[in-house]
Amino acid sequence: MTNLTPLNKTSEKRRTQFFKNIKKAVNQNNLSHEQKQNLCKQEAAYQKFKYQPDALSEEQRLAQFKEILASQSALFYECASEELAEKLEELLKEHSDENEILIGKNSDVEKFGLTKSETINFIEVESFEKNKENYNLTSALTTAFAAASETGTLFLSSGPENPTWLNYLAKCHFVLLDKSTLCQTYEQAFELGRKQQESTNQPFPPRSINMISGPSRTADIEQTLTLGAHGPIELIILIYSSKENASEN
Amino acid sequence: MSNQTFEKQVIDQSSFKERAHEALVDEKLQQALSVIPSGFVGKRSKAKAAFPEFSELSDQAVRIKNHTLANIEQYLEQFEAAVQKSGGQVHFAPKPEDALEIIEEISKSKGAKIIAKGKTMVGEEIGLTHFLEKKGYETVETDLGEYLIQLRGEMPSHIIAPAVHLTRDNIRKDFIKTHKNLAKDRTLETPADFVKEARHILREKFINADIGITGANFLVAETGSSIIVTNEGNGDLCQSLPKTHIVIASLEKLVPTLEDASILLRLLARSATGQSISTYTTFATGPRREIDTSGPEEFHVVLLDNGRSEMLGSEFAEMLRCIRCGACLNHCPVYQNLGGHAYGTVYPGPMGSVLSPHYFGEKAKDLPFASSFCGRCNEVCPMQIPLTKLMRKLRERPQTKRTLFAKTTMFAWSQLAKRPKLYNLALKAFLPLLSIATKQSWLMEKVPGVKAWSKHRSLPKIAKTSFQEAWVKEKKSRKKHKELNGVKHD
Ligand code: SF4
Repeated sequence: MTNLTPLNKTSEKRRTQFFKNIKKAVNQNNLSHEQKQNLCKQEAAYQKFKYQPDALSEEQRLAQFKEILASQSALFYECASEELAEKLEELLKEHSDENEILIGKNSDVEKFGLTKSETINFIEVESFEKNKENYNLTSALTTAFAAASETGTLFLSSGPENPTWLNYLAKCHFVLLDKSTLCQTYEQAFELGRKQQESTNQPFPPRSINMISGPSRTADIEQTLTLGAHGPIELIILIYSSKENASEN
Repeated sequence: MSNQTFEKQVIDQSSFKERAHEALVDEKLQQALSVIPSGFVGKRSKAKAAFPEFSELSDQAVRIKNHTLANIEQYLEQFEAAVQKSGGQVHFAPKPEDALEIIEEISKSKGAKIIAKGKTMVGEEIGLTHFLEKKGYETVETDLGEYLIQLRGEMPSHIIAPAVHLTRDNIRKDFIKTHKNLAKDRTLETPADFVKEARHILREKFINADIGITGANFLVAETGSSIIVTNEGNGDLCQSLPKTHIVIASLEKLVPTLEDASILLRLLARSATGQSISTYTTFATGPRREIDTSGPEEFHVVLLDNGRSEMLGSEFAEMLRCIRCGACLNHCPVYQNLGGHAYGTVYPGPMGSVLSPHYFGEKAKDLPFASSFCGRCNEVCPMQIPLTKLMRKLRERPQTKRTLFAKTTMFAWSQLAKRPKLYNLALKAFLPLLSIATKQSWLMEKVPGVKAWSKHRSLPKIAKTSFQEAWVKEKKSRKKHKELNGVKHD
């Protein structure tokens, strides 16, 4: 937590000046009757608006999600939760020369018995400064709390199980996504996040919400799209359906 | 920092006309600029077409920003309180010097040596990198485009693609000169070669940085979050690895809620790069919490005014809706031909022509003239900012002084245009002369105002008679023709 430095004289003066300028500006706006009416109308329309595209079925959401992610160069695999361990082993072999994979503390991977794998060496990490030596490892695995099919976007939150830096330093980023959390819009994904935080008595939003929609890229060299600018060169999404969820739905 | 240094870094002292001339004859630049129409323009139009809700969301986006600006005081206070609640701190900076001082104070108190910087246009506006370097901090631009121009000591030439003016030849030379530890005969051919090398070099900086500075695309009042949007992931490394995170942003970045931010995000990437969303969008809210094992220990937001409050209370308030998508630059024929440096400030194109005179005053006074008023910028702006109307207003301001020649010519023209008979008489007298002159280029160069035009292009041949005269003749001949035909048919 930041040790809040009490406002010193200069910063207090700056703050006062800042708000004084704003007040002056706001008072200068002498609007005509017509402009005022127009503003009122705009205000009512602003308050009323809700982004509600035609609702998609679960199947349609999945199809949209897959299609968009593929166009954004992400890889996508679907399996049952019991098959996750096997799938991960297979993919790791395919995409990395190392058998190590970075994970956060109490990560979801334990829930699915992934850590029992004999071929994968899971390395549990915390803060970056404590685990600096691992920064050049090839693979990391984190979990998404939701996804939005509208733009093929994963939603991840910070926390001990998902140290944010893991999403950006590895060359190959694996993300676990529970199929039942695949929403259609950003608003729905946020709502899900809000509920999850509330259920664990944590404030919403968490320190960091990371929306990820593909591997890292740049077009800064002559406008040519190139993958793996600073972050992962590969984004591999493992979407799983668990029996629990299936019966719930 | 002295005012002079500050100005040198964020604004060029020569005139727009001089810089435009240089840009037009710079072959390398022209080659680099040629990709803009096929790149940004084509991609945006596809992305918009694939998203039928675009116009509806654009209307709401305008309302969001208008609502926020109308209640800005309340939202500033709400934002400040929310940041404090999450354990962070907001610093208010009326002027660029204030923002620089605040950032320096924080850096000093942390004993920082290396600062990793994400892309921030507000940072560019206040000359932040240059300032920190002068103060002795190793300050590294981590956005690839920004890094490329940092190596050259240049200003960005585009608000979302700062190095769009550079070709691979330029970059190869800079890399070989700067990355001295790497083999001289290494291959630097494909874009991937360059990206790999930059990734390798900048990684070292990231992991050793004491402070990370980012900008913000939006600030959310209800949660105290700062939102950044990147494709590279550099901004995220800046805000997740170092122990201190400083956000530098301007006051108009505020939006009331996460839902409002979601609406704007849907327009931003589509208008900017033609993606439906950028690869990474991150909401950062305060420093590391008790349950967290990682993340920065300190979170500071520096809020800049620098002329914005003045705009807010003026007829230019609409400009504060700008979300810096760059669409108006990409579609502007002046920008497409000259690139960003010709504008001489860090904000080029139509948006810059309106903003820069407000932020940099007198020095940018000729920018509202850097437009042909074709109006494409108005059409493509997702925030529906009437850019040409605002440029016109700026042209009319008393502080936008015109040259005596321009003033006299415009006056004479307006007098003629109001009197059609006089206009026709003048034209009749002038046209034959002009028609002869266009055949003799040496003669044309003597005509005031024409030399600048004919230097880079050939003048079209001018007809001996005016359009009006020709039209009267044509009408007569058509009538005759009709009569003749009519006789035949009968
Ligand atoms: S003025 Fe409009 S088009 Fe130009 S950068 Fe701002 S929001 Fe984009």
